[in-house]
Amino acid sequence: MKSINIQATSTSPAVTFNLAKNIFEISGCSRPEDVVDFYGPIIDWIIELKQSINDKLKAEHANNPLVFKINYDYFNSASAKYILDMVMHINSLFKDGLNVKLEWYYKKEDEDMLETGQEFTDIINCPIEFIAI
Amino acid sequence: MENVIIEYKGDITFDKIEELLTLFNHNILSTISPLCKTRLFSIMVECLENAYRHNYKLPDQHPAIELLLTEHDNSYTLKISNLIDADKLPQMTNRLEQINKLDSVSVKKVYNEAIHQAHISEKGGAGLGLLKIMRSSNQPIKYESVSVDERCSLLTLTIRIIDCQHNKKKTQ
Repeated sequence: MKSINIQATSTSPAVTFNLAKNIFEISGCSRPEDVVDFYGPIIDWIIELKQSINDKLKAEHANNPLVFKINYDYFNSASAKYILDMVMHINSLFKDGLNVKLEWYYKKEDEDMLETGQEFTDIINCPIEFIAI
Repeated sequence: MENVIIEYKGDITFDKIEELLTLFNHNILSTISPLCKTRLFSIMVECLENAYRHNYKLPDQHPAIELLLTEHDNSYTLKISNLIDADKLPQMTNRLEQINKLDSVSVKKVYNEAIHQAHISEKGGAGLGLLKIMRSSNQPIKYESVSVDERCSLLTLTIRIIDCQHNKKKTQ
């Protein structure tokens, strides 16, 4: 699969999704001017990965999970909608049998960011770890 | 004594939002707690993006927005005014009335329900901004509107947030 490599700006996060290197990271601020334009290709990438799930891919990651590291400093309400969609699509990879894990990073003083991540636990089955930084 | 942190009157563009947020980070008092700063930043973003997306443009030189952020006794008040299409004003004030009835627990519940149903509008919003403001401030959003002419009204939102965890030792 083609990888995604997006540099961070002051209004959009850095994104690295690279299946070959087993790196799935998103970090920074998110309030892009065009949220659809920014998050559309990221969600399409996860959908493409879901479509490519087979026994070989499952076996390759049986003891080596795909860890999606989500590390936002801030996101606006329009991004929140897409972050939810992204998490739900990652969860669908897990439901299809791929060994997937989420890591939700938050600044230790930012209880709102922690709470946002904790709210996902009610709606997803995929393992999620909360990591204070 | 009241501290004026940001006072702005003029146009609103995507780049201007960035400029005002940079000014916020520069001018904000060092006594503010990290959590209150994060919440106030979020309120600033949602208010500015709301004004940017829904501002009614008059052909004359009327400023697009007026913004005043002040601090008094560890309570921060953001007052933001922008012109709004007269036809859209009732929908906006009804929404504000509904949201202002919610307590802090209900606002989280309503936000989490709304985010599942949200669609990104042509203007790029998800219709979650006011809920996010209320969730961050934990206070009702005060509002007033004044009719400018038959086409538009001036809508002013006033949002207050109290910093319960401020650092008393630091000075500005």
